[in-house]
Amino acid sequence: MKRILLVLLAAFLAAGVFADPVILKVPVPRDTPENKSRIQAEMAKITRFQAANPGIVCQAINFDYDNTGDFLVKQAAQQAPDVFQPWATEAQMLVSKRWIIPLDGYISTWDKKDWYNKDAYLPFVVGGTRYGVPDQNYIKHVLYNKEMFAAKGVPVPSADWTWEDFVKAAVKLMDKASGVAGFAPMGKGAESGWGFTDFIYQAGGEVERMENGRAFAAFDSEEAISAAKLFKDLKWKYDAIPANWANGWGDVFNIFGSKQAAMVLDADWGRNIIINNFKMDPKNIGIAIMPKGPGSKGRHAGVLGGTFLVINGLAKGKAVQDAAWKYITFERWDDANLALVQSQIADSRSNHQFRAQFQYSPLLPGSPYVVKERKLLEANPDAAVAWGDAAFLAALPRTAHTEPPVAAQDAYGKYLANVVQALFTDQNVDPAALMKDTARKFQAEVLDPLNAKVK
Amino acid sequence: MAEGQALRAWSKYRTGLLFLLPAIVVFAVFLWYPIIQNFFLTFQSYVPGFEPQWIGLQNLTAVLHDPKLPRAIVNTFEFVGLCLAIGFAVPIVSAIALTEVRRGRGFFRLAVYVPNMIPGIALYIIWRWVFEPNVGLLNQALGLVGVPHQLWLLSPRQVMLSLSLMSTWANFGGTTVLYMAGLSNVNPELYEAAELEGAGFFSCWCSSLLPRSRFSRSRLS
Repeated sequence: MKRILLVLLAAFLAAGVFADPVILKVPVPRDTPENKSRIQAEMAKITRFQAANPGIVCQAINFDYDNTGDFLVKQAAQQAPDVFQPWATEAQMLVSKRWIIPLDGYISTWDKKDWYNKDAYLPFVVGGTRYGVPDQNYIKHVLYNKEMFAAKGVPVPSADWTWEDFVKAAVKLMDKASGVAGFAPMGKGAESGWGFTDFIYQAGGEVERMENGRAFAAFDSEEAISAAKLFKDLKWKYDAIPANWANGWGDVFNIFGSKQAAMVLDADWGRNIIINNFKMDPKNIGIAIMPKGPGSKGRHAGVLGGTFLVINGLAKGKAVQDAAWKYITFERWDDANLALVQSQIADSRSNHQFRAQFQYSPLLPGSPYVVKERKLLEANPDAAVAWGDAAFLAALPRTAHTEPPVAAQDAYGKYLANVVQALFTDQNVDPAALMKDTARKFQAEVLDPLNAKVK
Repeated sequence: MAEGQALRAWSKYRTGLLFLLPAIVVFAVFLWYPIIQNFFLTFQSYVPGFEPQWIGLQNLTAVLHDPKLPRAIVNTFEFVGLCLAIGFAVPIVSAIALTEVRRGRGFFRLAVYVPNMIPGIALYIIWRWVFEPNVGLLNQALGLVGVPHQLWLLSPRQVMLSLSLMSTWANFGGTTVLYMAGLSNVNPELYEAAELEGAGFFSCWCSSLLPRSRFSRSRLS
C-alpha cells in the first residue's frame, strides 16, 4: 500500500514538474533602429517576468498595434500577441469581433485598481464592462514658441484663453514674407480629422452621440459648423496657416521645430521631434490647454486618447489568459517602472538627447507613482523634461474629451479629413452644407450598418 | 489496348508536363486556390482568428444595398477609362518615338521597360512620394516653371488621374516594346517611299505605317 502511495505521489509530482509551460505571446516594439532601447527594456522585463513566474514562457513578437494590415493578418494567422495595446478608439470594434475579453473579474481583485482616475477606463468600457486597462494616455494641448511670442509682443496663452485670443495670436505671429505661419494644423491623413475634432469639442459640439447602444453622427450641429468656419477663416480670411497646408502628424512638428509656425497641437510624442531632431531648447516651448470655443457651450477641450492593455480573445484557455493578466500587472506603476524611466533618461543623456515625451498618467494626481516620476524627471533637467506647472497639470484633466466610441478611425480618416481638405482647398465652400452632407454620409455609410447589428 | 494507347499518348507529353509542374503548383497555390477560396468567402462571415460562418447571400445583399456602391461603380469606370486612354495612346507614341531614334535605341528601349520590373509595393511608394504635395518631385518640377503646388492624391479632382498615371506608368514599357515589335513588321521600304513622296512625319505614320500595324494594335488594346 505504501509502495502504491509512493508511486502515485511520484507520478503526481512528475506531472507537475514536467507539465507543459504556459506559452504567452507578448509584444515588443517593432525592430527599428529608433526602438532599440525600448526593445532591450522590454526584453529585460520579459526575463524578470519569467523569473518571477516559473511555468510561464514568453514568446516575444515584434508588434505595434495598427488597425490596417499587421494586426488583422496576425489575428488571422493566430500569431498576434496574447497581450497587446490598441488605441483608445478601438474598443467597440475589438469587442464586436470578440478580439478582446472582459477584464472586470481581474480588475476587481487588483490591488492597484483604485490608483486610477475612474474616467481613465471609459474609452474601453463597453456595455458597462471594462475590457482594457489604461496604459499610456494623452490629452491634447497647445505647444507654442515662447521666443516668437516674445519677439512679436503677443501675450502667451492663459488658462482661460479663447478662440478669439488664439486667432489674434496666430495672425500677429504670422509672417508671410518669412514663410512663418501662426498655427500649423494637420491637414493630411486621418490625423487631420483627429485634430479637427479638438475644435469641434471646443465649440461645444460632438462627433457622435449614443442612443440605446446605437451611434449617430452629431457633427452637423451649429457648434461643429462653427469649428469648420474657424478652419476656413484660418486659411482664407486670416491666412494664418502654412501655405502648404497638407501636413501629416510628423510634418507639423518639423514645421514647428524649424520655426516656420508658432503654435501646434500635440498629444505626447510630437515634442520629441521638435527637441531631439531640431534641437529646440525645451525651455523655449510653452504648453497651454486648448482655447475655449465661442458661445455658451464653448469649452476648453482636447482629445483624450492613448493606448490600453487588453487580453486577446484568441488567447487559448484560462491559463494563458491568467498569464496575460499577470503580464499586464507585472511591475505596473512600481519601482521597476521608475527604473525604466531612469534608463530612458540615461539613454537620452548618452545620445545627447532628451526624454521629451509627455505621457499623461491615467492615475489620480498625487498618487505615489506620479509624484515619484515627476521628481525623477525634475532631477534630470539635462536629459528629461517635466512638462507643465501645477496649474497646467490641474487644469489639463478637466479639458479631456474622449474620442468617438464607434468607428472613430473611419470618422477621422474618411470623412472629417475630407472636410478639412475641402475647407483648405475651396475658398467658396459652405461649411454648414459641407458638415451636414458629410455627417449624413457618415451616418448612412458607416453608422447605420453598424447600428443594424445592435440587438 | 485502349489503355495502352492512352498511356503512350500520356508519355508523349510527360516530359513537358513535368517541366510545367512547378509552374502549375505555384499558380495553383498562389493564384487559383485564393480565387476559389475568395469565391466561397463571399458566402461566409469571417472574423480573422475564428472559423468562417456560412451566411449565404448576406454579403452580396449588403453590397447591393450599400449607398457607396453607385459611386464605386462610377469610380471604377472612370479609372478604367482613363487607364485605357493613357495605356493605349502613350505606348503607341513611345513606340513611334523609339522607332525614330537611330542611336541608343537599345538603351531607351530598356529604359522604358524598367518600370515593368519594379515590384508593385515599391512602385506605389515611389509614386506616393512623387505626388507628395509639399516636397514631392512632381510639384518641385512644376514649381520650376511657376506652376503652384498641386494636391494630386489629396484632390478629389486630380486623384483619379494620379492613380491612372501610377497604374499605367508601370505597364506602358511592356506595351511599348510590343508595339515596337509590331511596327518592325511593317516594311521599311514603305516608310522610305512615303518620305520620297514628300510625306511629313505625321502623314508617314498616320496614313501609311500605323494602319499596317493595326493587327498588333488591336491585340494589345
